Amino acid sequence: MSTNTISAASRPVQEPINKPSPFARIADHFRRYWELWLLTLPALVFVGLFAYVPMWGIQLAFREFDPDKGLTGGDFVGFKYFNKFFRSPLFGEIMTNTVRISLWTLVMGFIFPIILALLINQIHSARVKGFVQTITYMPHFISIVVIVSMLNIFLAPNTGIIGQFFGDESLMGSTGAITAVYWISEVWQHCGWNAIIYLAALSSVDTSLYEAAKLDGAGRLQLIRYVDFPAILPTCGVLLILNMGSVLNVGFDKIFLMQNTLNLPATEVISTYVYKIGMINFQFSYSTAIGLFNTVVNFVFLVAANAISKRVSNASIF
Amino acid sequence: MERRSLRIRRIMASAMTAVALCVPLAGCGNSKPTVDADGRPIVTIRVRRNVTDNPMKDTEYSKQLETACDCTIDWEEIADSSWGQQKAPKMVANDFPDIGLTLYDPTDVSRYPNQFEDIGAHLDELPNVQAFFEAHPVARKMAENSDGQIKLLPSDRGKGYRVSATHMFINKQWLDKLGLKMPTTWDELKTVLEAFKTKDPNGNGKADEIPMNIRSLGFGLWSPLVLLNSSGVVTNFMGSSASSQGYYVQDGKVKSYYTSEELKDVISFLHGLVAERLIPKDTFTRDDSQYVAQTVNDGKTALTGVTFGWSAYSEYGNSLANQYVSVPPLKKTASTPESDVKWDYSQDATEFAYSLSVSPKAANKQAVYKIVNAMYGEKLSVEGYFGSIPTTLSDDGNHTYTIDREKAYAEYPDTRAIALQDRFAGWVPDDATIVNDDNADQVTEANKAVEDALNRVDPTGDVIPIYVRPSSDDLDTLSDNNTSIGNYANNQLAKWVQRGGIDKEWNTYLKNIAEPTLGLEENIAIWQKYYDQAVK
Repeated sequence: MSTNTISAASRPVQEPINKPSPFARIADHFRRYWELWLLTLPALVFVGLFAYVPMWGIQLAFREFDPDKGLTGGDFVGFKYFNKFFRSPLFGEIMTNTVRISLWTLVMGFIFPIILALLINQIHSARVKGFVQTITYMPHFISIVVIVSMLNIFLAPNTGIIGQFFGDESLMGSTGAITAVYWISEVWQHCGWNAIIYLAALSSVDTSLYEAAKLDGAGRLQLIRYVDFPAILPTCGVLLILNMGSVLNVGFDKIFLMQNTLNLPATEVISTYVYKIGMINFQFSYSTAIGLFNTVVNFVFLVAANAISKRVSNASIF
Repeated sequence: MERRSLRIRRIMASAMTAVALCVPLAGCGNSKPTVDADGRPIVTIRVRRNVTDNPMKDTEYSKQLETACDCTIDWEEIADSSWGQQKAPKMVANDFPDIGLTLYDPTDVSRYPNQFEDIGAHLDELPNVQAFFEAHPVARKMAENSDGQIKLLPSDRGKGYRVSATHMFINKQWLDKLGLKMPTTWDELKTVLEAFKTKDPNGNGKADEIPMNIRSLGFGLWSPLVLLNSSGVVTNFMGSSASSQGYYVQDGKVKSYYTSEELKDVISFLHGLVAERLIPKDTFTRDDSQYVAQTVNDGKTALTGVTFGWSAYSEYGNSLANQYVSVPPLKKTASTPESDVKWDYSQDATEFAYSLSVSPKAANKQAVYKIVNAMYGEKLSVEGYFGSIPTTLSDDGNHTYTIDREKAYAEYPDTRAIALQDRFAGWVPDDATIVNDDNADQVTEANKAVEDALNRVDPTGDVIPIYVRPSSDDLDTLSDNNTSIGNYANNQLAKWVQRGGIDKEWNTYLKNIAEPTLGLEENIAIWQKYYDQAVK
């Protein structure tokens, strides 16, 4: 990746003899590059303040919350709240729901933009291409509340434009269909938007490659298979790794809005459960513990995906 | 040299910019002044309101309170919708106002005991509150916690609201038109609903009537599960009562609705109605706005036959309300004895509400208690709820007050915009008469039909009274278990209403719900413990 080449080039050439002390090297480094450090300082402060400082509060997951002593002052209880969650009768159901919904969304949300980008790339007229692209990414800007209302209306039995084909019960109330409703609407909404990054990668393909392939007698499908596809593969890899970091993250808003009494056994996920425990029942420690568990699992997935990708395709984000 | 100084100047400039950016942040840390320019104490009152477009500080009510306490009141008004999100973070940040109005409930008090002052220790300074407690012992029981401290004062909106919060309404005009009698049993209700469906009672030539409409199936406000009362199981679906969590009491023993045969009967009955399309089949999945569209409709043609709600006016709008009347509580079958028919006993929670809290950190305690006492006086209580004298309310003497309809109801059909309304703290005594209080008149009218049934309810023997309050730890256990139980059971109930099958699956359900991990037995034991303490 490009980051590798930059860091390799910027590494100062070291003198093999008379190695200066580490302190002197750091001082030298800052003397030379302090302007660059000053330039990044606001960003560093921002990340430090809003990403690292709040991590101090994670200890709440291991303490009993005491309003008088603040977030970090309660009695230390170790893994009490984690055990409570693992033993909760809802644990199995919540985990299966979270993994099922997020895996479907992750995989489908990954495949469809690639297909769409490859298809759009086949359109020759620039005007038609622009038109198709605009139409497909427009839904991305619709707010989630509106999307869920639209789902409710479209799927209404007997009257909805889709619901009329599915008998006299709404798919929104079916535990079997709700996952599909979730990921299909998710793919429909974000497919065009997510295809943009692949289109950018495709636009950088050297046109002489197409000519050479055509001279060799390649058809349209073969062009896609041997020219377009390899061109976007590194981008796919990086995006997949980034997505792996959210394997247990089912976005809160949409699934919460889609919940109803009939589909609840299939739609209660970690984020909605954390909300119910923390914000409605005011059990801050318990809900912090569940949230932390979620984050740790995501972190493990991210690191694992990155390591695998690094070994297999040499594309990685760190 | 010159270049160097230029660089230094640049660094200085950027450093100053950075400092300037931090200045607004520093403002947050400053504490507020506690006295105003004239040296009078400042008291902060934070209140949650329905609508915040008419600020309280401009009202005569506020000026009269300021005269009574010889202080300045700093009103902080928060819209209902935002308070839900702000409450938890504000409490964690220990941000409590000098006086809070309807912000907190006993659950909050038991979680943050040191952030609420024991108002009971100041009752000498509060003669009006003392008088209130003497007139209404229930209010005192609500207020006192197990240590005898009073950390939340209830408000009392008066006899106009001594009613059940849920009533069942039926379209009387349709009944008359089809020559039908008011139903008295579940079977008769079904017959009436079938006639509503097939005989075009609204006369528009279309089969668009919705015989019966329900909101949802929980143990909450306006739930069709109030039909449980038809067989003697009393509900109290209001606020955070034990009943709203699914627990009731019978012969001194706490039980759960979830495992009762009576619930099975209600669910089977409701499924019968859904199966024959007498209740819309998409009830649990449709958008909430459709309920209003079906009840209020265009304001000219009634679409709905039967619903559960607060008053006919709030359910069907002003123009259709006169077609509807409240249904006297139904018997389950014709053979059910009259004495077994009860109704939703939520009148205490409807009349009284947890309202006023005082922060122990309030800077001007004396002024705070002067305000509290003034609020519980008759005149200021009435003004707090119904609007200021003379702006929108007149004092006709002899404890009679008249609301100026034109001015008071210009925006809303009640006084939510011009007064604190149900977010007030105060005591509207029984001898005060409010003329033109439409909301109370309408709900009292609806309540007439259920009064007989309500009189049959034993306030401590049939329901867990609202002043039974578990401790903070037990509340955590209760809510954890209720989340697990509800997750399983509510879904089963909804499924049975929608698709049926309760007879086949009931026994499996009873076995599943008794799983010790769900904690139903544990919750029953907790409520039993506190019920026994409070009642015996």
